[in-house]
Amino acid sequence: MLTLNTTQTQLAIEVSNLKKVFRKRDGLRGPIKEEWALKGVSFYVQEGETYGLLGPNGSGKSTLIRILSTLLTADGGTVRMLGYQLPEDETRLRRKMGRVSVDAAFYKKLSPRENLLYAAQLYGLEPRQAEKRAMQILEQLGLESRRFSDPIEEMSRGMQQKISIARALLINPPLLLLDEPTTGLDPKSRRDVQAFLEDLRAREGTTILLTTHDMAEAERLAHRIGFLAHGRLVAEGTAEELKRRAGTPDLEEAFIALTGEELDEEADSL
Amino acid sequence: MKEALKIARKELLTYVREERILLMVLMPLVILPLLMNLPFLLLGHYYQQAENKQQVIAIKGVPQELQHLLQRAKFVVQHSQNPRQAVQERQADVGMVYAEGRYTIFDRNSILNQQRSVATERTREVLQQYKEQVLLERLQSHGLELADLEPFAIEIQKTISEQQQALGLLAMLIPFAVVGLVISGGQAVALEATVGEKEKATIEALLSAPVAPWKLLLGKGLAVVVAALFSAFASMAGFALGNVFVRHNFSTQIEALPTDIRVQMGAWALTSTDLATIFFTSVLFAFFVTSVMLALGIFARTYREANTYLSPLEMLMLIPFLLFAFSDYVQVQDWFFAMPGLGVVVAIDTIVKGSYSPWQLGLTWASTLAYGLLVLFFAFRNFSREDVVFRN
Repeated sequence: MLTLNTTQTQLAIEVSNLKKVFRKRDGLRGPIKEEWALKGVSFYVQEGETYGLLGPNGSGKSTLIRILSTLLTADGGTVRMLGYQLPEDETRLRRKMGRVSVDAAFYKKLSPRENLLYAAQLYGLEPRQAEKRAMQILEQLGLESRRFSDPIEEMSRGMQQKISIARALLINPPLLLLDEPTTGLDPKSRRDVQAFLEDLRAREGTTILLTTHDMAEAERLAHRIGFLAHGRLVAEGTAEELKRRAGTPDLEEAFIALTGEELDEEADSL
Repeated sequence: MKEALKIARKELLTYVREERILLMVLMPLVILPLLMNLPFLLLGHYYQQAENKQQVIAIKGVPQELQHLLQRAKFVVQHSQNPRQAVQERQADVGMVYAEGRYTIFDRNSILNQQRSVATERTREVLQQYKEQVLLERLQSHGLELADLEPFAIEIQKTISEQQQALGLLAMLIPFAVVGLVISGGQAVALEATVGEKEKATIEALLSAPVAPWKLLLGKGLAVVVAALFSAFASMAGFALGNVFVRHNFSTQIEALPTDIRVQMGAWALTSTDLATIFFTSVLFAFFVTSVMLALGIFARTYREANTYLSPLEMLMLIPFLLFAFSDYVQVQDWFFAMPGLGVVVAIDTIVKGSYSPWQLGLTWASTLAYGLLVLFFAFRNFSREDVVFRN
């Protein structure tokens, strides 16, 4: 079981009663329909802690990550990260936060080198230093350096996701938001990424918020886990605590018992 | 500003790497000069061939004297019972019959058969020469000269400027080429930089970077303006170089063209001041077009949706074309110069014709800048609204 050094008591993320609604007009002149993606979510993540958020598609995971990464503005509640308040301090916060999304989005005609240097420049990093750091990270993730100048479109999904992680880590952020970083990866790439994250946490003490469908991954990486369903955090605790509370031997059954929902097939099958 | 330049650089790099986009820009560069010059060149070639070829004329009832004149004009004279049939059956290039004081020329004149057109023209010239000869003989028998039949001369002079005259068809094409190519050249980059980022989901990484949205927009806009101007002016350079190349290397074919067609072909006769004025007008137009494309590109969810918005706008550009098709009947008013798009076409047209007034040009510049700023404001608003950027 993963344990966190209890001397680290500072909070890296404090989310309180977070709400988000999406409004959509029904047709051209129809009434505006409201859909609540988050209905008052509260949780905290300690510095150096890895917090796993588990939930099926549509549970609000990606909306939550998008709010924390300053892409969306909440309709209610408060978010405080690394001592900064959202949305007031969003520009300062962006400089201290890395994010990996599920889709490893890149400019596919450009090489990993060009993509990473572009990201580095947006964060105001010196190109040579950024390139050196990117190379180190990619080597740690098992990417051959000779592929560093090939167009990304010629690379596998696993490789692209590794480059995506390298991009998030270029600025050496104290806080990392990972939105299903291993979804769709082959087993080896998945293991590579998980091992890298463990190593990163041990080395740098990086705080990680991880959303995933993969129970085994959540158990392996997360100190604490939150179950998200229909925009609400229905249960929270260590993997052992959640299993005990549900009275089930594994985390997936605990999830079903506590949320009344099943996780999507894709991740579980791998 | 440094960030904006870096963003613009990345957008242009992506643009250069995309073969499809590059093709869209380079195609007009090659094709437009080719389209502009090749028909004239082929026509000149046919005329030259026809000039050098000994052509056969089938005649009936033609006097001996005229036959000698035809032979001197390099015709092979063949007597025929039915010159019309001889031409139809391709035994002769042209036919001529004299009966009851009338000369009839038989010709299968069509665009596809330029040789016979040349033969007919030469026959007409010979007949005219013969007519004048006969007339002169008759006048002289009465103690008169040919000049006595012409108490005064009639001359029609076109009032268009020398520059417009020298430019020929180019004078008409340049305004549309500039406007059309600014739009088409900028479109691919604008869509790639906006809705392309949405489709590839790269917009999330971009917007979560510590760069102000206006800098992102400025960088993207800069790339679109550069691509649009490159497309337009590379094609202009293509026009100019193509024209110079053809005139230098195919002078005999061009000389063989009839004068009116040669005038239409035109020559590159713009001064550096004209070019600078056109360039400045194009920069403002590229700014306006870029703002429109960014605003629509940010609003659209997919490439298809963005194209659905842009296609009708491009259709609107046909209005100036229609207007210019009837330009002899349309009096250009001052307010034309203040209309978005139309104003730029009219302004460049007046620059090319050398007939612009500073007031009209100023009106186009000021209005285009104002429209550009207005639309840019909407683009910025769209870019800052999560319900637009993330709408699905």
